[in-house]
Amino acid sequence: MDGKWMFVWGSYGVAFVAMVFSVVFASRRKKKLAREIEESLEE
Amino acid sequence: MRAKRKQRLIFVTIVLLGFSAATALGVYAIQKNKTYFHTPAEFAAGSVPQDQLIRVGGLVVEGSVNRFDDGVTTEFDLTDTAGTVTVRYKGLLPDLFREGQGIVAQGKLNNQGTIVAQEVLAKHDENYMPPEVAEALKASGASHPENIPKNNY
Amino acid sequence: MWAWFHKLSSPKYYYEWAGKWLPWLAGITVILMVVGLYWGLVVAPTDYQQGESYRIIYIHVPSAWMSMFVYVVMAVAGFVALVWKTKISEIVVSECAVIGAMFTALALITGMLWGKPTWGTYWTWDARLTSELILLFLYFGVIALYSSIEDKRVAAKAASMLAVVGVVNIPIIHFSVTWWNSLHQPNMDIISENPSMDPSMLWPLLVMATAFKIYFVWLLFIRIRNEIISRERTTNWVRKLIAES
Repeated sequence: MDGKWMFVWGSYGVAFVAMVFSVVFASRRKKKLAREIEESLEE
Repeated sequence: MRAKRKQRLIFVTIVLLGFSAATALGVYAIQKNKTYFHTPAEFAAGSVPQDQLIRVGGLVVEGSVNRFDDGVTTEFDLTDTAGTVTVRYKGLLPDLFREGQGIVAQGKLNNQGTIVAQEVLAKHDENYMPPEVAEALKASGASHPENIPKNNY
Repeated sequence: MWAWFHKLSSPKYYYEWAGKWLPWLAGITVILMVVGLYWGLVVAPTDYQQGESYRIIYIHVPSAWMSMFVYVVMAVAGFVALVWKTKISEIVVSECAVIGAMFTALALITGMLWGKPTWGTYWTWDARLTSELILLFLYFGVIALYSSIEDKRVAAKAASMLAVVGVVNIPIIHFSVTWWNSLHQPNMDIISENPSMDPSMLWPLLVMATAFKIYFVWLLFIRIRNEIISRERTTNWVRKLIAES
């Protein structure tokens, strides 16, 4: 295998992590917000 | 509350100062590197200062690459078809370095008109094609795309 | 048309409208990404000059295009926020800043990983690279302004102003390779009859670029909905929505 593949995999890896993490992070924030509001409603 | 507001004001000021400084540095870098490289024609015209760190960009002249006996020093000519300048470089050349390739070398012009380079970078163009297509192009008489002198070399 | 825009500027209506789109956006993004990645990494031929490392183009160029596209969206939203002061446009500014910063960082990182095997260096102060770095600072500036001022209406106003002013950097980035000698290659010609990229390599690039655009809309909608809930948490419709779920 060409040594240049290292750079290719590196760049795809960084992009994959950043883009997947962004969506996961945003979805988790939604759940957190809902919980916060729910708690404030119960009070 | 007042203290908090003051803290916030200081934070915004610091952020904006940092932001302005970063932008100013960036603009300065662009200004300074606007002429990222000089062309061989400019060397022929003598408009490039001696003993200053400068960059030169051009195509490696076919048959001009001369490897020294020490194994690490290389000398080659760069051209933009309007002028030619000789570059000497001690070190590893990038993979893309070859005759006819666009190159940007950074170094100082000595009094013999040779550039003693500290760094040699390969410039590549915006053309992408499979090897077969490149071969077919060559066979059909059209020169290799990398050999067509671009106005920005 | 205007009535619809007006309706869309209501947080409640926007929240519901965007929610309907989410599954479609997610599905299209995943399909296009899988097709684009397979096409670009496996099917597309090796470049005659750069070998395999040119394949970074399929991630680098879409990121770089998006870094500028998102900025323009943000600046337009900022302009709308300054003139008509609609809440949704303010939220679009703040959310675009975060997503745009991510795309810009990706463009820079993947560009560095491409520069090393082809040019021979990770970084150089070339006009294209420098102006893209300034773009990252601009995004950081907008994020910092928005998050450091407590009153979100005031924060959005300040952030919008910076977003609108900073738009001058966009043509500088685009034309940097034409105006000045640069190490970075010139802009590709992809619309003429003789594109600067062989069709077998160009198609996967267009698929990836579309995938990135849909991904952006998807992530933007998720983030806008979050921000709407966060800002409108005291309103009846949000309380009702949370209580029902």
